Parts: sequence; C-alpha cells; structure tokens
Amino acid sequence: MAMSTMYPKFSTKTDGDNIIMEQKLLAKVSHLVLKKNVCTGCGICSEACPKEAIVLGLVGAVRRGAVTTEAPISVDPAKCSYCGVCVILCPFNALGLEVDGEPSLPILEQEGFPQYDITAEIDESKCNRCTICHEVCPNDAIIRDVPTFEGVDAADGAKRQAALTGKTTFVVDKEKCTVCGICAALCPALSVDRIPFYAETAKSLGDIVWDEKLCNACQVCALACPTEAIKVERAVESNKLPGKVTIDVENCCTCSWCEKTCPTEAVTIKKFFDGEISFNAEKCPAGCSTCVEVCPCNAIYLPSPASAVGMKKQKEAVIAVNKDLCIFCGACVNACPSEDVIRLKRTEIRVKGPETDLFKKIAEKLYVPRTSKVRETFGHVEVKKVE
Amino acid sequence: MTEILIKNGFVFDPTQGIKGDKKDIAVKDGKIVDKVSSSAKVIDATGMTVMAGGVDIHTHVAGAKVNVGRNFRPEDKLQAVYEPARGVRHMSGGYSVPTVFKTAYKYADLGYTTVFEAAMPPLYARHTHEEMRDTPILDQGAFPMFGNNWFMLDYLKNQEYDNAAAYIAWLLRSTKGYGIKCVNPGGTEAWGWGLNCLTVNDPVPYFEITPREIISGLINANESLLLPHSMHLHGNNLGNPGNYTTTLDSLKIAEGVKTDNKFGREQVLHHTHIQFHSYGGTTWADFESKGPEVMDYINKNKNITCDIGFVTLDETTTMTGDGPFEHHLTALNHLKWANTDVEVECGSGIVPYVYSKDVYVCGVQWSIGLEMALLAKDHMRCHLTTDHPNAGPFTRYPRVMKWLMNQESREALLHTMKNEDKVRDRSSLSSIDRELTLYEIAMMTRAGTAKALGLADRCGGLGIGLQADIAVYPFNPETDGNDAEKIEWAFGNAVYLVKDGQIIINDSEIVSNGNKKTYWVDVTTNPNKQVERDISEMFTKYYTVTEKNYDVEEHAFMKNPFVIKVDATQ
Ligand code: SF4
Repeated sequence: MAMSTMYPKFSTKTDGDNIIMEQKLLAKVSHLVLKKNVCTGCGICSEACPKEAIVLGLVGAVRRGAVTTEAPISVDPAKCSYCGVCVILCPFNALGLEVDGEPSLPILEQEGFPQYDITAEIDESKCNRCTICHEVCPNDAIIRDVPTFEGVDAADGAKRQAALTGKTTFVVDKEKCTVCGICAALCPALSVDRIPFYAETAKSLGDIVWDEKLCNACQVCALACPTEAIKVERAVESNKLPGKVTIDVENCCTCSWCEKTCPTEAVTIKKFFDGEISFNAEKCPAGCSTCVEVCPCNAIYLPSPASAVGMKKQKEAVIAVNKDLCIFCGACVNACPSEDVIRLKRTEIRVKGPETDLFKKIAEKLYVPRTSKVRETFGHVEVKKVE
Repeated sequence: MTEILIKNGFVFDPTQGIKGDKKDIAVKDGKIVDKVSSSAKVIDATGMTVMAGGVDIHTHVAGAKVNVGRNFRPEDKLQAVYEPARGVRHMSGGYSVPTVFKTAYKYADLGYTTVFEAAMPPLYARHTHEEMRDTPILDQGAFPMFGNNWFMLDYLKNQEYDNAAAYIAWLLRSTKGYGIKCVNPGGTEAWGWGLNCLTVNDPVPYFEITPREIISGLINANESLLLPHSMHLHGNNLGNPGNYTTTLDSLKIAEGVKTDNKFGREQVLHHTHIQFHSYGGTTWADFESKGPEVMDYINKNKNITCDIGFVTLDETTTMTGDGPFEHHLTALNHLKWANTDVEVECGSGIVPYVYSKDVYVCGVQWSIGLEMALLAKDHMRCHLTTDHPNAGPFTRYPRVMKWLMNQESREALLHTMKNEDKVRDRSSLSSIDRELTLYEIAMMTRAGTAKALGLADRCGGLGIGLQADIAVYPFNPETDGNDAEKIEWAFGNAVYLVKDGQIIINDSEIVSNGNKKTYWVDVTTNPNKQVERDISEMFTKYYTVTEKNYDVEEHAFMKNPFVIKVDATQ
C-alpha cells in the first residue's frame, strides 16, 4: 500500500537549458527532456500528445526572451506516458526521450509510428562551397566543412592558393637575371641561391629558387623585377573550394531558405508539411511583430514602406508572410495576440514508416485549419478552428 | 459714446468716389454719421489728408511661426531700439518681427485699424488668438491654412465637395478662422517627406492629388460656403526664376468661376504676394521680371484680386507656411533656418533674409513689385502689402507709397544700386513714369482690401453707417504736392486715428489701446455625419490632441470676438 503512493513517482526538474520530466518506476526511469531554448512553441507536440499532457504557454514572451524562467510548452510529468510521439513529431528536435539514462524510442523500434519523410540534400557536384546557405539558415543546420583561409577566417588558416587546383609555372630568364634579390625580398615562395661574392669575379651570380606551394601567382615578382626576367603563369584546373557543404537533417526544419538562395541550385528540400497560410493584415494591430520574432523559419516580415512618391494611395501591409519559406508549423498562430489575422491549414504530412491508427488520429488533429483568438484560458494557448 | 467731427480735411474715399475734396466727417456711437451735435469733439484736419482706417489683407503678425521668428532672432531687436512703456503704451520692441504691442502701435501710426493674420496653422490657432488678443487697437482676423490638410486632400481627390465644405465650416468654427488660406498647395505636405510640388500638376505623395485639383476644389468650396473672403492663395513654386508660368496656371483655375456672396466681394481668388510669383528666366543668372505678363492677366480677369508683397530692401525675417521654400532659401543664403511640420495640417519655415539694394536679384525683386502695381489697371484689385515681414516689415508701407507716388524717388534709388544697369535691364520699371494718386493708394490700402475681405459694409470707407475707423495724416495734397520725403513721413505718422469711434491717436500721441475685436466666420452647413465621423477618427488615430481640446473657446482665447454668420445650408 505504501509502495503505491511512492511509485510511479513523477517530477519535473531543470538542468541548465533542459527541462526534464521524470517518471520513476521501481525498475525503470523514463525522462522526457525538453530543450527550452530550441522549442519554438509550434504546438505540434501538444496536438500530437495522446495523453494531452502538453500545453502551450507564453510562446511569444518566452521566444522573445521576456520570460526566461519558462519554456513555450509545459508537460505534465504525471499525465505523460513517455511514449515518445512528441519526440518523433517535433520538427525542431527540441524533445528527447531517455529510458534509464539512454536515448530510446521504443515506439519506433516496434514500428508503432512513422517518421517525417524529409528531403534536405545538397548536390555536391553543383555546390561551389559558397557561404550563402550557411548564413541564411535560421537553424544552423548547414555544415560547411571548408577550410578557413589565412588572413580572412583565421590568421593561420590554409594558404589561399590551396583553394585552387591547377598548375603554376615560374620561369626566370637567366640571361636577364642579375640575381639582384628583389623578388626574394618580396615573396616567401622565392629565395636566392647565391654563389658567394668573390673578388676574383666581383659579380652577382646564382639561381632563383621557387616553391610552387607558396606561390599565389600574384605576379608581384614579375612586375617588380627590374630586368623583366620573370614569367609566372597559372593554369587553373578547378576553382572549386575544397571541402564539403551538407545539411544536418536532424536540425533542418525544411524551410528551404537555402534552396531559394543557392546560386547553383544545388539544394533540394522537401518539406514535411504542406499547407496554406494567409495573413489578413487589416486585422493586425501592428506594432507587435510577435509572429516575426517567433517564426522559426524567418518567413514572416514587415513589408518595407514604399518611397514617398511610390505610395500612390497605397499603404504597405503591416504584416506579411513568404509562403515559400513557411513550414506550416503553427508557432505564429499560437503567439499572435489578435484574432483572425493568421490562418493556417496543413494539407499533407509527409512520413515514412507505418501509418498506424494512432498516427492517423493525430494527423487529423494537425489538419484542422486554425487561427488565433483573443479570449483564452490564462496561461494556455488556445486556437480557433476555422471553416 | 462721444461724438466726433473731423473738420476740413482733404478726404480720399474710393468707396464714395471722393478724391481729395474738403469734407467734414462726423462720428457718433462708433459709426460714421451724417452730422453731429455741437457738443461733438472737433478735430481740426485743416491741411491734412483724411482716409478710412487702413485694412491690411495679408500680414504675419500673430501665432506660432511669428513667435518662432521673434524667439530665434534676438538680434532683430538690435535693429530697433526698445521703447519703454509710456502713457497707455506697453513696452515694445523688435524690427522685422515686432512684439504684439509694437505691431499695434506701428499699425496705428500708419493709420491702419484692421489687420488680417495671413497663415494660421489650425492646430496652433490658440496661439494665434492669444497673440491677437494681446495686440491692442487693431481689429483682426486670421486665415487658417487648408491647402495641405489631409481631410482636404482626401475629400478633394475623391471629389467629395459637400464633405470638403462641411469640414471647412467645422474648422473655421473650431479655430475661429476667417477664410480659406492655401499655401503652396500640396507642396508643404510633400515637404513632410522632404519633397515639393513645383507646378500645378505635380501630384502630392501618397494623396495623388495635384495642386490644380486643390486650388480648384478650395475655390469652389469657398463659393459654395458663401464666405465673405475668397480663397486666398499663395501658389506653388514661390520665389523661383521662371515661376510666372506656374502663377498663370494657378490663376487660370479661377476662370469661369462666379461668386454669389452677400458681402459685396467680386473676386473668387485672391493671389497674395504676387511679386514673388512673377519671375522669368531659368536661373538667378538670367532672372528677369515677368510682372507685366502676370499683371496683364489679372487686369483682364475681374474675378481675381492680388496683393503685391513689395520688397522694401531691408534686413528682414521670412516666415511662411511654405516649408520647402524656406529650406530652399536657407540653402541659398546659409542663414539660420527654423521649420515646423504641423501634424495632419500644414508646415512652415523661417529664415532671416537681407534684401540688399546692391544685390541685383533684390533690386529686380524690388522693381517687379513696383512695376506690377504701376501696371495695374484697377487698384481695387491690387493691394499694398509686403507680406510682412517676408518682403519687408509693414512699417515700410509709407516708403512703398513714396515709391509708387513719386517716380523721382524710384529713379534716385535705382541710381544708387551697384548693379543699376542690370536691374534696369531686367524689368520695365524705369520706363514707367506713372505715379499713383492718393486716391489709388486709398484703393490699395483700404477700399480694395476691405471689399476683397467682404468687409466693405463695415470698414475701408467713410460712407454713412460704416464703422468709424478714420486716419488723419499730416499731408496737404495741395501744398505738399509730390514731396517724396513728406509722403513717407506723413503716412507713417498719423496725427489722429479714430477706431470704432474712439480716439486712438490724438495729436500724434497714442492715447488709447482701443477696444479691438477679432472677426471670425461661422458658416452653417447641412449636417454631415460622414465628416463628423471622419473628424473623430482622425483625432483618435492621428492627432496628438483630442477633439475636445482642439476648439478655440471664444471666452478663453479671444477679446471681443465678432462673429460673421453665414447660412450655407441648401
Ligand atoms: S499578425 Fe499577430 S503576431 Fe503578427 S504582428 Fe500582427 S498581431 Fe502580432
């Protein structure tokens, strides 16, 4: 009897940026770990939870850093069954399940639930290792494994000539060369192999020694040579930077910013949700921009004001979304303090693996079109069904 | 009230066609009457000129920008010694932007009794009224500015003329304003974005209305409201070489528009300081007068009146609701610049300016004003102003009269100019030998202005029943003839001034601060729910003050408010 009040035992504790929900049985300990700084408040977990153990809280305030003691969601450790559905469906990798201290997703192992079917690839043959995708990715999901070069990214980085593959030739016209030493005084790739000065001849004699690995083919030696004795030529075979750029699929939310901005069209992204989103800017009170700040994909923007002469009786909308970049996660709807501004409808969930009854039930909930509403229970986000 | 008899003066009164006849003027109970009893106070005006009190149709003497001018030009007071309080006089000072007291005393010395403040930002109407309240002696009124007001821009663009009229009526009532002033239509709103409208066809940013539509809309609104004064325009492109084409374009907008008011006003458009709008050439290098062209148009079109804005060749202060022009000016002369953009309504700027007779442009500007006034065929429609203090302080009116009445004085001044030949070359002034008569001067300074303001039944003349505003000048038309210096001195030093039947100046001494009044026009229009709603919305969304705090309450801000009621309901 006494034992039953002791086990199972539930608790929630905070460990740095993690919030850990614990269920302790006699022989087994389960943890649901929430990375509170990674959670976007999209609410997919809350809709997916078979036990309704997850509620959405102060999404906007937490994501903008106004509230630091909470996470956008909170999980009731006692209602939670530690099934891991939320972990599987979190598009941002903010949740993890551990059994007895080890990462574990029994439901996947037992093929009781499908996984998102995400395509996020970079065609290596097209990629020229530029920097755009790495800078544009809102989730730091691009792994740009390219050496850093001297003087730019790092003082002691790779020599910049190493960025190119090809052949450099260096020819000295011995007839013209006075072995004056100017070239060697300018460049680390050159040195003078001098025959010691000797009174018998009283001449400057010797050879210029060139190290291809250190040569930039910059032409300074050739231009500085007082007798025009030097010729440097470089035949470039490939100007493609060494290294490799890949997408960390774990952290990719399929927003497709990289795909849209890649100059060589090397990226292929297939989103895990398809859907429709629309902003009714007339109803947005403006001056809020919570949605802009919570959007994990940077897909929402405040349209730029037109120039004075460009307005022509039109004022720019106060808020708008780039549908191509939206992943239909729902964070904006959850955070928006107004009613009916943002409408979101998911039309497809791309998964691989068994589409079990449980999955189908959850998918139905995720498909419900929604918008935000003004009056809701304090501390809990509620959205309004539409259509 | 006392009776007064002004005896034996040479009377000039264009309203009755009296051209210097020796006549007595009798005053009783503040009005001009046929005769008075033997107990009347007798003023002996023998050998003196008698005219109605002067009526100034356009001057900047009260309100926000005038006061900024006073504030940011302490050095202006060095041009004129402070006069201490004496008798009924308060202490007074300032040269180009005098204090309110000095304004009143100097106008009184000039024989003026009615003075209209030319540009009142509606939001700052209380300031204007407080200064007018503190300006003794003079009857005043103020023109609120409409040419860049968001309500107007929207209503006129959408051709909602009833709404435009209802809004104007509401604004006149709220600000206790007298008529519709339009400064650089659309251009000052464009200046809100650092832009301008230089022709009548340049659309206003965002509002997409053109100055042409604004001018035309305001003229029509003015006529549908049956207001005493006409639409009072300061056109686009002020002060730029070649701007006379814009001016003619603006004036042409009035073509065919008729008036049907009950105030005896015949014009539908008054173009102010037209001198600044009559420039030819393309740059300051080939700058020249187009005064004759513009005046020719005005001569031919009877539904237009104008005032000149004579350049007086002084160091002065420019101040106007034309914000972009003032910025343009500071870029030219590198003197200090003040600017105020007034929410929803208008804007303004202030820059000191030195009109030197040795700068040929100033010489030509001086010539253009005189040239236009001398080429005018009907001085009832061409008025004497300096756009005080923009082209010069109003205290120079007598000097302007001297130039107008005496060709020798014009020649003498031209002769002292450093660029005499160039100045002569760029205008036709030196070929004009016309000298205006005192009768024509009286048209330009009282009969014409009073009529254009719709006040001819009250002032501007000496007919029986008019308000007893009478100036007596120490000028004997028979013996002083055409003595230039005597003209300038005499018309700046009235020996007697009667206002509303009260003696203000007695024997060259100001003896009373009078009992000034402030005119405003209350037009009744049909109720208009739409406009009421729009006003509430504008105050809720865009104004920093509330609708309830906007109104100029007569009892709090005005001295002797005088309402002219107009019924414009249909
Ligand atoms: S749409 Fe909603 S969240 Fe976004 S700015 Fe408007 S009110 Fe704020």
